[in-house]
Amino acid sequence: MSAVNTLEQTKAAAIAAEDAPILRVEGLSRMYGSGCKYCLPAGGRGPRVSAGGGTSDASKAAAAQSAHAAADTGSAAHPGIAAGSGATGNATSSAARESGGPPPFSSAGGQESHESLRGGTGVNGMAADNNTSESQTPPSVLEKNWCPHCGTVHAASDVSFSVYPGEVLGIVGESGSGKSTVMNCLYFDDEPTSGAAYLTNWDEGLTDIFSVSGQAKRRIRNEMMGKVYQNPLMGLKMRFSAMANIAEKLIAAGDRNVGRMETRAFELLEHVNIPSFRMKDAPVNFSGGMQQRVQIAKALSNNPPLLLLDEVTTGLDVSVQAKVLDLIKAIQRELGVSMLLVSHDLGIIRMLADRTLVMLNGRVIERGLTDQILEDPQEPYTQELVQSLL
Amino acid sequence: MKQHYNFAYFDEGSKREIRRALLKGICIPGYQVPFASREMPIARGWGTGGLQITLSLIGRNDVLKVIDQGDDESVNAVNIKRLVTGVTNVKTTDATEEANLIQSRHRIPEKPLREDQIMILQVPLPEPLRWVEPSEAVTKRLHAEKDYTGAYLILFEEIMRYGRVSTGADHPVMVEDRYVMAPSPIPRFDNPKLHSSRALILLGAGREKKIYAVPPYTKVVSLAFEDHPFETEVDDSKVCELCGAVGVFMDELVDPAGGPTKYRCNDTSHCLDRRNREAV
Repeated sequence: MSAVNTLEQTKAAAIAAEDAPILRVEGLSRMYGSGCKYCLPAGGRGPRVSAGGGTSDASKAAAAQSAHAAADTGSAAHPGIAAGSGATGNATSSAARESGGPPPFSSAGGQESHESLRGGTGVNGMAADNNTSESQTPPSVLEKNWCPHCGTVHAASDVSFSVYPGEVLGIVGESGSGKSTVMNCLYFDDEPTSGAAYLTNWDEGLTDIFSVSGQAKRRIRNEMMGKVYQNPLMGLKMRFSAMANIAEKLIAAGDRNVGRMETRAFELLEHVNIPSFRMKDAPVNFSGGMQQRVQIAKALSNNPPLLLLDEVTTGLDVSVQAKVLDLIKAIQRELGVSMLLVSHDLGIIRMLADRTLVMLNGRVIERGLTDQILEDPQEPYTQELVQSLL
Repeated sequence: MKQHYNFAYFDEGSKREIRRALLKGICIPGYQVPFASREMPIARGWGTGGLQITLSLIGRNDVLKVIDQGDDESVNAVNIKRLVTGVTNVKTTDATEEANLIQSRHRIPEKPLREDQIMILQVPLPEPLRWVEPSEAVTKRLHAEKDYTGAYLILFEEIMRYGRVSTGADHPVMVEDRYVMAPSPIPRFDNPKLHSSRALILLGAGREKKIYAVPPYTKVVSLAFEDHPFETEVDDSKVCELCGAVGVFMDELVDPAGGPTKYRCNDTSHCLDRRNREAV
């Protein structure tokens, strides 16, 4: 630990004081299966041991077990420093902040040691005015995100990012790349295998929201987040009226006044252009676009600071897509809600997202300002993705 | 009488298992305790939950009353009484005050119950959240985390649809500020009788294999909204044509020929008692 690092921490804290992230996700992983951490190629089980400075994921995994130990040994390229210097170069760009300066909430060593685990970020972090390509190449043992030795699927591996107030963060990637897994974990629909997430609104961002009780998770979900699912069946009670669907979230947050909830539901449904004579109909009788708009209204009902949008326009026809997108854009402008937007459609990402993460096989492979990603993609996969846009 | 069965039909082990579930239910008011619902000589859905509780508790000196829809003499009530007397030889009665075990479907008697009485209710659907959540695993978790959004949502939807809460029966209640419970299909009129009841109230669902309880003097609050307070359905303008009672739960007798609609006490034993007193 050097004095430089402390200095960087102070800088980051100064930035944080102005504009702290509303959501910070650290090393979120979700595995399905027996939980190998990359079996030995010979077929043997157990973590692959690497003495290197944390370039291979296996060593990261091993280090994750003893984060403090790793920090103490002082790994070679300390990303905390490198990325931090990036932040100095471009302090106003949230992208630079994203790339790994010590997060503002923590002063604890545990957090810092986590940053030190983030392998290659340091090198790329230098080029802070460009988008950061993350050399998180998956270990060669894995076939995509699947371990052929034990059959474990690594749906999301070590995903870290922050969402700042009022911004739209896009997550793009092909299907199966782990976008929705990350989203589901954040909304507690799924449980991450490891990792942490902090919300400014929950305990001032000091407590990992994955570690709290089920009751607390419900509170976070009902009062501090809203989610729009790709499939309205997941987000709506199809046989209850649109009004009741919106009231559900209000009731969950403790409202027991029918009049007040009715007014609020009316207001929101009007906002998303559901005609008043259909508000008491059940969404099962609505068109796909209308269902999606009811979902958006429902997600907004408690004025959540964070909105999770999971492939909201997939499956809708183009004109309806445009309406839903317009609505999202308008909400973002008027209410200043932060959004996490998952899509496989770069067009939507380009239209809505300020910053973008590119995911592949459960890993974040590239991140940066959306324009940078689209104009100057670094990773071969991203280049391919951008090519296919046209 | 030649005994074909062990006293009260069940073997002693079965009685113990059911009593143990009952004790747990009493310890955690409103919590649904799973139990090994037995095959009974009557079909599931016809009161096997209540019957199993009755048989596990009954002793030789007990006096049993069975009500079905407020009536002591309807087929179901009579059959259950016959079955129980057939296997126990206990006395049965129609008079609420004489009984110490009262098994009932759909009603709590009009006459206030005493501390030495046990009210046993037959429950078809013990899960108040079932309409919003079909999975038992999920509803169990909802109860554990005290998330009763669904129960309120059902009431909200009724208000949206009909302008008022329209639960005819089985209006959900919050027991001791912890568990939301289905009070069995008793009319809303009977819900307030659950609150701070002097008698122990036991509820059994044979088909759903659940037992739960409201111990004496327990706080029971019917779910409602601030601006839609809980209301019972009784209207004081209706008078029983037989005994002249008002403010009790009535049966409505519509004359198909177009004559005036008549009302009678739903609780036949209460009605009879009033008329007998008048006659004296």
